[in-house]
This record gives sequence, structure tokens and C-alpha cells, in this order.
Amino acid sequence: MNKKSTKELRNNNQSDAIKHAQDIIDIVREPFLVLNDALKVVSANAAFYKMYKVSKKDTEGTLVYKLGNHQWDIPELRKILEEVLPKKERLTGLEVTHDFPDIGKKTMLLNARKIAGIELILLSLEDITAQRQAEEARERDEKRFRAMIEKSDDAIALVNAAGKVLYASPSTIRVMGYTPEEIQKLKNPFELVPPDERKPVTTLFEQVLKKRGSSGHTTHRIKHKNGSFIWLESVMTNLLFDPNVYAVVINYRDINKRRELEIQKDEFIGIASHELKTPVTSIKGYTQVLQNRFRKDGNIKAVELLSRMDGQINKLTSLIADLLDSTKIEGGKLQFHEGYFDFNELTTEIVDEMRLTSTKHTIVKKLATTKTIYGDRDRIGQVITNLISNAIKYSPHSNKIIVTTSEDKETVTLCVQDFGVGVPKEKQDKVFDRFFRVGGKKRDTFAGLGLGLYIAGEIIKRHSGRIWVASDVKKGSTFCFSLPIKKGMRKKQTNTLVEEELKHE
Amino acid sequence: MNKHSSSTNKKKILVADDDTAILHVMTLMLEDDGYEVTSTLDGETVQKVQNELPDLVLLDIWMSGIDGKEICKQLKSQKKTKHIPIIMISANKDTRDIAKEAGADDFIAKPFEMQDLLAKVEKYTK
Repeated sequence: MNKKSTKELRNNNQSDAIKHAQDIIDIVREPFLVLNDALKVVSANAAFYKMYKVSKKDTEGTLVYKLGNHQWDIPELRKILEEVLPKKERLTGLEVTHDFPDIGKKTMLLNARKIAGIELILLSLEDITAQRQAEEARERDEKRFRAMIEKSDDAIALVNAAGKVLYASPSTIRVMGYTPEEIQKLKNPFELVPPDERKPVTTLFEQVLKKRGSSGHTTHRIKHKNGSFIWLESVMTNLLFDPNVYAVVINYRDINKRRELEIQKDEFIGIASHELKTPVTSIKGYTQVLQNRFRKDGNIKAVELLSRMDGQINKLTSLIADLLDSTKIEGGKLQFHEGYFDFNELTTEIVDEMRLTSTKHTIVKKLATTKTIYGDRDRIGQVITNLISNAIKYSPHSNKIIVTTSEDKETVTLCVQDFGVGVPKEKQDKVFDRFFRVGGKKRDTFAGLGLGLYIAGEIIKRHSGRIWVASDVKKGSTFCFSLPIKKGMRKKQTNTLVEEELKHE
Repeated sequence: MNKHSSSTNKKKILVADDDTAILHVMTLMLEDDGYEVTSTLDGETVQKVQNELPDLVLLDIWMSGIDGKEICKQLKSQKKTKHIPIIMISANKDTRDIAKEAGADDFIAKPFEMQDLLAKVEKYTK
């Protein structure tokens, strides 16, 4: 054994090498084939059999292309083995996707190497199907989300804490008329809002910035690139802390159509209530003429009946007036005729008036303020009337109402307290909303359009004042408002709302 | 009963409105209170008042077809008619400013209390 021919030695080396290779191949987890120079399989490892579902018997000694009943006759494989390898000796990382009739579509990463001297080819066939599918799914997901953003009717912008636009979606062209690039060049997107109307939008942005995950929306106008003004709804969400976003996301929705419809609706209500006033005027007139004539004739019974009729006509008139006022508020057309007036004098006047109409309730006056304030006397009077008539309306089982005025250095405050049904805590925020009505089963018990407190709230807000309610169910409510004593700037109407913090993981 | 005993002493009121019922009921109110009333649905009639000038004009702001504001301005710009008090009437509260701008002496909103109307008419015809 120590004297061997060169050939023997070589053969020995060769078989050693094969064995060595075989050992390595067997412990490798990747599917592996060893081919001879005729491209027949010399051996395959366990991983190969497992992965590609072929048996050792059918594999060893078979031409590689014939494996699995010719399933392996793959053009790319032929090219590698017959054209590339003979020249290059090795080949790495070639990805081949092949649809195997038995095992389905597989993506393989091929590495091949010709071992010089022993005329063998090592071929590893890593199955990367799962990886590729995951990547494709990820890509599909990304494409889908991108399409959702890019094809969305809403324009979407990501801005940093300074308001600088980091990303703008292609829909900005459709919504605002500007390309995403043009939007990105702006100092901040709020520049598009007319200067006089910018404050509520920037205020909302600042509020949203303050709290992680918080979100708020507002409706406002912007100047479209074509020069026209359009209405948008902006929803801002603070995702500055979210490592996937690091931005405030702003959605811009074109609400011009909605706005037009709202305007149309308000115009319609305006016209309708105006039209209603004409017959109401003549009915009221005839009633009063009749009343006057019966009084002259001494027919007291008829006078009394007509006086009740006149009272009902006044109710109708005030319903119509509320409708008209609410449309004017929405259209920003509520006009004020401001001047200085004595706050207590006005309160007394209205309390006296209300005492005439309400026989059941005792209205107690506790007036402390003596201030002259600046504002629209009629409109403030309307608010006081509304609060007192609500107190009467919502306290059917009690008979006392207390009207208090007070003052401090800067404001006068008026409160109307009743001992009636009260407002549940969760509804206290909503009582000043347009169309809010006391809901639930008792809904029909209290008639109304749901406009009175909304109008009252708007009148007070426009006087730079504050209106609020404190109430306990079944114990009663106290509605108050305060007004600045000094002549203040009237506030512009705004529609902003900061919503609760979003839940974010 | 009437405050103006003889017919010759009666104050003459011209009422212009585009609604017949309102025109009718205002006429009743004023006649019951002792005024002599001429009423018209047509704003142009008001513009053409030359003979027998009224002591007061009650003018609807939105007379259909013709703008009450213009009629008012015109009457107030002419020598012959500018002394006639004009009270503008409208269903729109906010036209108070328009009445002022048109040079009207006063304003009353529809629907109104008969007492308020009569008080204002009396004030300007004293």
C-alpha cells in the first residue's frame, strides 16, 4: 500500500475527495447535487430529496434534466450547466423560478462550481420561494398602500413640527392645483389659506403638535392655483413619535360640493323662512285689528281668545326667526348693531317681559352688576330670553327660576338657574351644537328645533364672550354667559375641533 | 273715537307693499286709528307722487320688481318730497342699515306689533 502508482494515487485522492465532498454535502441544510461531467447525478443530499420530493433511486445516475420525470428540464439550468460552467468554472447567486408540476412554483438560488481534476459539478439549489413570496407580498402591500395614497381623492401631506412639507401626494394637483413639488417648496402648507382665515388652521396645528397621537379637523378655504377659493376639510394627526412616519399627517379633502349643498340648503331655509314671514305678518295684523275692534265693542272674551292667538303667532314668529338666524350664522351673515347699553336694565326688561308670559314660574332677579357694556343690545337680549324660556320649558315640575348677574374687573356674567330636568354630563358639551335636541324617549316632551342655544352660543362667541352650563340630572341646570366689559373685537367664526387622543401602539 | 275728528284733518298715509294681505291689514290698522290711507302694490306709483302729497310713506324694502331703497332715495332727493317722512318695512331685520343708508326716517320689521306701527306713524305725523 505504500507503493502506489500515480494513477492509483490519483484515484484514491479522487475517491477521498468525493467522500469528503459527500460528507460536507450531507451536513449542509441546503439542497445539493453532485453531478458528473455527463450531467448525471452522482449524489444528492437529504435536503434535496426532502425539498424537491424525489427519491434517491430515481435520482442517482439520472441525467439532471430528467429528474422527477423531466420536471428539471429547466432552460436556465441547461444554460448554466452547458454554457456558463464550462467557461467560468463557477457561478453564484443565480435566481431561477420554475413551476414544477409536482411541487408547484419554486424560486431557487443556484450556486454551481466545477471541481477541477475530478470532473464533478457541485450544485446547490437553495429554496428561496418563501422569502421571495414574502418580499413580493411586501412589495404588493407597499404598492397597494402607495396607490391608496396616490390615487386617493384626498390630498395627503406629511409635515414636520415646523410645518415644512416632507411629502405631498400626487392628489394635491387635483385638490389644490399645485404639484407635490410645488407644495413641498412652500414654507408651510398653511400659506395657501387666505391670511385672514389662517389663524384657526395654525392654532389647530399647534394644538395637535402638543399631544402625541392627537388628531383634529377643521374646515377652511384655500386659494387654488387657478386663483379661485375652495373649501377643504383638513384632518391633522400627530405621528411625530411614530418611527415609521415621524411627521404630522394632514389629509385635505375637497368639500366644495358639500359646502355648495350646505349653502344651498341654508339659502333655501333662508328663503323659506322669509316667505313664511309674509303670511304670518298679515295673520298677526288681522288678529290685532280684530282684537282692537272687539275691545272697542267691549267683547272681553273675544279679546282674550285673540290675545292667545297672538301669543301663538309670536311663537311661530320666533321659530321662523331662529331658522333665519341659524342660516345667517352658517353663512357668516349674522349682523350686529353694536353700542353701549346698561346690562342690568336690559336684564330687568327681559325678566319683566318673561314674567308676563309665564304664569306658573316665579322669576327671581339677583342683579349685582351695574356695568355698561358694548355689544348688540337686541342680540344679547335674545340670548337672555332664550336662557329664561329654556329654564321655563325644561322645569315643568318646579316653579322657581333665578336670574343672577355679577361682575369682575373684565367681565359681566349672567346666570339663569332652574330646578328642572337637567342635562346629563355627557351631553353638556353638545347643548350648544346646531340641531341638538334633548334626546331619548322623552324627546317629544320638549318641542323645539334645536337652534336656540346654538344661536345663543354663536351670539356670545361673536361678542368675544363665553357661554357654559352646569347641571345635574333631575336637580336642574344653570346656564351662564359672560361678556367682556371693554369694547372687544368681534371674533371671526371658526369651525375647529380638537379630538381626543388617538390610541396608538 | 278717531283722533282726527274731521276728514279734512286726517293725516294721509301712503302704504306700498307687494303683498295684498299685508297692504289690506295695514290699511285697516291705520284707518281704524283715524288715518286716510292710500295703498299701492306698485312701487312706481310712489315715485310718481306729485299731487296730494302724503304726510307719511310706509315703504316695503323689497317691493318685487323695484327696489324700495331706490324709491326712498329718490323721494328724499327731490325738493318737493324730501320733507315727507318715510318708514321702511321689511321682513329682514338686517335691512335696518339699508333703511338708514337710503335716508329713511325709521324702520319696522315684519311681523310687527300693531302698537309699534301706530306709535311710529304717530311720531312722524304729529
